[in-house]
Amino acid sequence: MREGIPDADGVPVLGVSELVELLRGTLRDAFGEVRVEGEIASLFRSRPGHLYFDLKDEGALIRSVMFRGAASALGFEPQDGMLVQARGRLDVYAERGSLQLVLSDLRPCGEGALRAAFEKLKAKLAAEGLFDAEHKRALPFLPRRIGIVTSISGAVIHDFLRALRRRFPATEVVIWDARVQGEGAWREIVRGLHLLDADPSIDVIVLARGGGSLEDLWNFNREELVRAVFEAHTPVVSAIGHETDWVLTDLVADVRAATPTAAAALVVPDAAQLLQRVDELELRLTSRVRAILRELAHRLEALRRGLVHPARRLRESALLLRELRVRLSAVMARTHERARARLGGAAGRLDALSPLAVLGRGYGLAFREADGAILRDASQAPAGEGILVRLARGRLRATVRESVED
Amino acid sequence: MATRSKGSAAPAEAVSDASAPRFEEALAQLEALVHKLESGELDLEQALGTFEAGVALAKLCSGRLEAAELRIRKLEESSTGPLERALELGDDS
Repeated sequence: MREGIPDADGVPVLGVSELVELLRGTLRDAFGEVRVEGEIASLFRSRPGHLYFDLKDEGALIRSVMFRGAASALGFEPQDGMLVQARGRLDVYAERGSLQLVLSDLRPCGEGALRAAFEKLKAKLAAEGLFDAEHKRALPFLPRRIGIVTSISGAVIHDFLRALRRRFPATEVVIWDARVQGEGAWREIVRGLHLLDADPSIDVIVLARGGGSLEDLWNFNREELVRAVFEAHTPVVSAIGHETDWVLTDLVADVRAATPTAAAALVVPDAAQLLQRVDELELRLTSRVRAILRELAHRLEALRRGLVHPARRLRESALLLRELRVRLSAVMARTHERARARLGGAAGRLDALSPLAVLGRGYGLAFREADGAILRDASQAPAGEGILVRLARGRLRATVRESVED
Repeated sequence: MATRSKGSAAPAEAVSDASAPRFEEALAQLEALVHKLESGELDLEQALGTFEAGVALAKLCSGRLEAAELRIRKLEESSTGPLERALELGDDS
């Protein structure tokens, strides 16, 4: 079949299929794998998932196809107008006799295309919930060990370590040295992330890289890496680029740090501040215990004053008793004295009233001898009655000679 | 919807002070003891016990804060799996 039937001019006549087949072989041999940069146009995605589009620039256009296998591995959504770099082989689509590029890989290039790809992937992952706040985990208060994925030759690791030393030197850092830009760097980053995540003593993982263009940072927008961060068991801090650079690992990470220095401040507490806090607590403990002891000492002193030995109490009672007794007798003596004085006075007064005192003035008292009755009436003593007359001094025994009634 | 494992169930092994409470736990305990001592009606024995436990925790905390220099290690692949080795990375950049 290769050798067709020559016509009159000696030129072999080929069947169409033969021609196309020849063309295919020639293209393959002449070009091998090609890399083409151009803009996507007339994009069509077939039902089975193959991508058909034109790659073009100002002056030319070539039909391109990317079959499902390769298309599904793309980290972004190709779109019309997107500037891309394609890799593939030239082929002829036999049924139409048209030239086409069969692509194995495609990646966006140019700021605009990258931006569009970024937005597209971001929207897709956001729809899946990868960036949702409910998935964010709190960073440990004080990590035992800190894992960091970054390039060991960059300034970033030095900034990070310097900030750590200043803020909390008593910690340990495990570094996974990875390329952080360029073709396939994301694979090294994902590998480090997996290894650090598998170490149970590592409590937090930092992804760090300095600033750069969107293209420089592109590895951190790689879907595989974004998913790896999402699936990590260890909390992840994303510190990529500068304040204004946002990449998808920033969105999926548990915490985003604007700079490597800020990342250090996020993963460890300020040791000086904590030390002050601990000192203050210890001081409060000590002063409180001192106060308790002082208070107890006071109470003890008060109690001791109230507590008396029974013998001493007995002695004290005896003393008291004696004192009371002395006081009592003194009082009694005084009372006695007063009583006697009063008695003396009363006796004087009594004396004045005594009928005997009257006798001194010449009166006499007459009694009936028989019964001692005082005689107030002459009839009490008829003649012959024996009477007794008491005088101021001495008495008279007499017999009534005559009793005269007045 | 995507799911993601919550929190790390990482055991505390492979760390020098594995048996000691984590710093934040020790600090929280210390704070609780101070509050207990300051507000509680404790008898002397309880007060002294609380005090001693508190001082021990404070010592633990400050020890953790004052401990040595930043240790830096580099993780590498080897034929037997990932391998760590100490790394000197100064502050001079």
